[in-house]
Amino acid sequence: MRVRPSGIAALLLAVMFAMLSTAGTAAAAAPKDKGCPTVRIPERDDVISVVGQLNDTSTTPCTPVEGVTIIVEDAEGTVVGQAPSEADGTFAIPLPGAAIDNLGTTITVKLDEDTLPEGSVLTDKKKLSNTVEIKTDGNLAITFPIGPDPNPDTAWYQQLPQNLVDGLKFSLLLALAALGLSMIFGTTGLTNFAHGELVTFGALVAYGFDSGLGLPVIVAGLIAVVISGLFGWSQDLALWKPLRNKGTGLIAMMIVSIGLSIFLRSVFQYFAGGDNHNFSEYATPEPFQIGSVLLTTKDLVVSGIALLVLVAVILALQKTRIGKATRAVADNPALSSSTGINVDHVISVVWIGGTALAGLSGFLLGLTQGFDFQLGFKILLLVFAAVVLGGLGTIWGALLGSLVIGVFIEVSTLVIPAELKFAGALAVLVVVLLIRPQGLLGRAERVG
Amino acid sequence: MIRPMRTARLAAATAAAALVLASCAQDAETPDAAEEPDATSESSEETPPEETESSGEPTESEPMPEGKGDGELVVGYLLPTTGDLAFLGPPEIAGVNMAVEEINAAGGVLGKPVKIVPADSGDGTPAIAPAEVDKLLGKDSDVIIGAASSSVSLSVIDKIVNAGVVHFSPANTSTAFDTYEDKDLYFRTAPSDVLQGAVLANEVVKDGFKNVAILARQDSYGEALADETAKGLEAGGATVATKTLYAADASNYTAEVNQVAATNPDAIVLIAFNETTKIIPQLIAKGAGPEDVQIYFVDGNTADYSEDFDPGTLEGVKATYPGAELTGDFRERLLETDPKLKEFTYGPETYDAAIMSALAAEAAKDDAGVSIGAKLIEISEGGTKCMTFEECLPMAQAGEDIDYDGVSGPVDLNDTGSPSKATIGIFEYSADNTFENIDYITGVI
Repeated sequence: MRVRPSGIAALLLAVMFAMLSTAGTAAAAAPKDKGCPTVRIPERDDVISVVGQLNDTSTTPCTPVEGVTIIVEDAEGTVVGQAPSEADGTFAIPLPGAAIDNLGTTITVKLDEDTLPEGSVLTDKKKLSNTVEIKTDGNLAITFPIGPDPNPDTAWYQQLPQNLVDGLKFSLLLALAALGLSMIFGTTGLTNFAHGELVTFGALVAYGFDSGLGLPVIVAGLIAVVISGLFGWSQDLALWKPLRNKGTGLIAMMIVSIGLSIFLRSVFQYFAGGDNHNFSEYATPEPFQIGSVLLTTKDLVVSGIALLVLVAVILALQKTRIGKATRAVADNPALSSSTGINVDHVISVVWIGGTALAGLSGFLLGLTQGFDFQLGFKILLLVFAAVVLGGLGTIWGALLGSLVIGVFIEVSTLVIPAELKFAGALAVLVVVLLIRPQGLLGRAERVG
Repeated sequence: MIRPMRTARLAAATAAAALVLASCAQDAETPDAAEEPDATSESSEETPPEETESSGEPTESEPMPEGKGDGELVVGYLLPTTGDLAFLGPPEIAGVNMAVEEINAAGGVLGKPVKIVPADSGDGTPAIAPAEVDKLLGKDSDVIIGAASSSVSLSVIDKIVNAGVVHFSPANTSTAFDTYEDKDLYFRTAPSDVLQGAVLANEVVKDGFKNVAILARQDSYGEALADETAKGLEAGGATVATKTLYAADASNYTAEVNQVAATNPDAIVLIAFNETTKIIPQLIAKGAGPEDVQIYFVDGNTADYSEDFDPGTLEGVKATYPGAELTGDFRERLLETDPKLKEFTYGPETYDAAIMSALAAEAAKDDAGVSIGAKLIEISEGGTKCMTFEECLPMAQAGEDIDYDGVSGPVDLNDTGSPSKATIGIFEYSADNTFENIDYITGVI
């Protein structure tokens, strides 16, 4: 591992920490009021009325606007009814004839601008009439918004902080999964397509302990991480180690992992069903505001845990004996073996660590947004994108890649439609790989 | 270096690319189905090859013979028992079972008991419906009742109608079916979303909201309903603050929710399926939850959330879904069929679809799909009104023109095979996150 990339990553981590620490001092935002009070105008049997309520939203609370004349015309332009708005701002103009006669006809509802009181300005000054087709036998509601535009055009950068923070939150969770994937790839060369299912596994096990056995969510999460680690260890022992010892090719192992992924996903669906699940606690947290950014305590705790674990894993890789051995194996298994490192032991530890990280990622993802049996499968592509973008098999690469992908997904929606957000992030991957085929922090390899 | 790093990288990249392509293909599947009749007709031709000679079923896609049935009416159902719409499955399946029980109690169709063949439609991801339809067609289904999701129906409609089988959905509300080239074999008892959109928009405006955000699932159901709702809102004078679509299989919804919250809406129309349980917490976290703004649900997500959210979470949320007020003992009878039912959404529509298919077969004196399809509109409107299978049966057998009025409403089908008149219920959630009716609105399409 070279110094430069780790320096960059350390800087990024420091920035994240700083953002988190400022978050602590926020005050709770007052809940917004639900808008103007609703006055329900009673329906009259067999008569359709044009109803509505005029409110000036320039004041808080809004004020009903009285005495404005509303005119209803039929398709030929003949006035069929008109009425001024009442003291509570409501108007109700019954249409002549039975409800059934009016079905399917088109009417135009106009507001007489001259009767609008001084100071009350229509939000859209040009919109003085609405033409509507009557499709139902109930009252037909028409509104004329009065007051300032509630949704003024905001510049994209005003929404940037919120999207940036959301992107950081997501990239931390992505990084947990990506780190595990990258570690396993680095030491064994296995491109593990079943890694997504290891993510789902964590969420599912936690859910089982939480809602099945009624344990607190945090305890359930801890148990899930431990069980995930055991799952990884046994998976390596029962499947991957025998395959490695038999000298199975990496491509063949990759195909095995795809099969395992489909198998596990089906098993998950069998046990958990196809529905979304939320954990029993912390499902609907109230937000607080810092500047223009809305955050919840849950977000902070989840991000904090993810960040701590990431830092701890990185320190362990850099400083501890087993961490150094891991990096040595990642560099050159044969040479490490000849220097006395127990390669099989290292790989076992990496599998335990990698799946525990994936399980934690799944648990935290499930905690932030709920989950279903496809949780990991849905993010697998992003995890791969992050790992490849950063540089396959490198630790810092996985982190940097996750950061870029996670942030880009959220921030790109400021300029592109939200339904294209993943496409945008993956386009970045393609572009970066065109310019730097080894990934951002990957080692360039000699061709030929 | 011992390990072939480069090969592995290449392999990873290729595989990742394959995944991208696969997921794109899955998304694109639904709209493509309409443009690729070749592909689907091919598969339908090869599906039930061995039955052709024994039953004389019209399985050839092109020259469709006025086929004679095999004398036994087989009703296949393609309803969700897994996936995001699995909550809609039980009442619908109970509806079919109950209808067939009643039909058989009254002597069956053409003198033989009606047979049911079950199948799971899933929710479209992964696409299991086409394979399940093969199964239904392989078992000689004359009518296929389903699917619940418009996208799923669109993915199998060509296959079903090209096999000369009636495709009868109790729950498809997408406007796409109004114009679809369906060989006059597609029918539905749920009204097109043109009406639900109008009723929903009118309700929002009636409640006094002016700056309304729409957050919708990006599929043929969500987009169509979002468009109709937006049209209705603008006609009523309100502003559509944003119409944000999210990919149905997205791994998170934060950016979409941010976009909605940033427009400062006073009401949000949420057109979603079961992912509602993911979106609501995120709306709350962005200060746009049910406590802050008025939220409206639609038929896709009007469900019992008492086990998903803390009490009070959804209090005050309003919802619309098509369907008339259940009259008489229908609810009790449905509960007898399936005592575990918690909801009844689309149960009546499914029941009516099964009854109407049986009546059409009697009127046509033949159980082949094409014969049933030719009579369905006729028995649904204009003629002597009758309300139950028992009541309608003698008239249908005597060749009289009947007008079946079902439990889900008058079910007068127009030439596109959709109800021309329908009732939309307005519902409101109480503190225990369950919903109850507050109003019914009837309209024409």
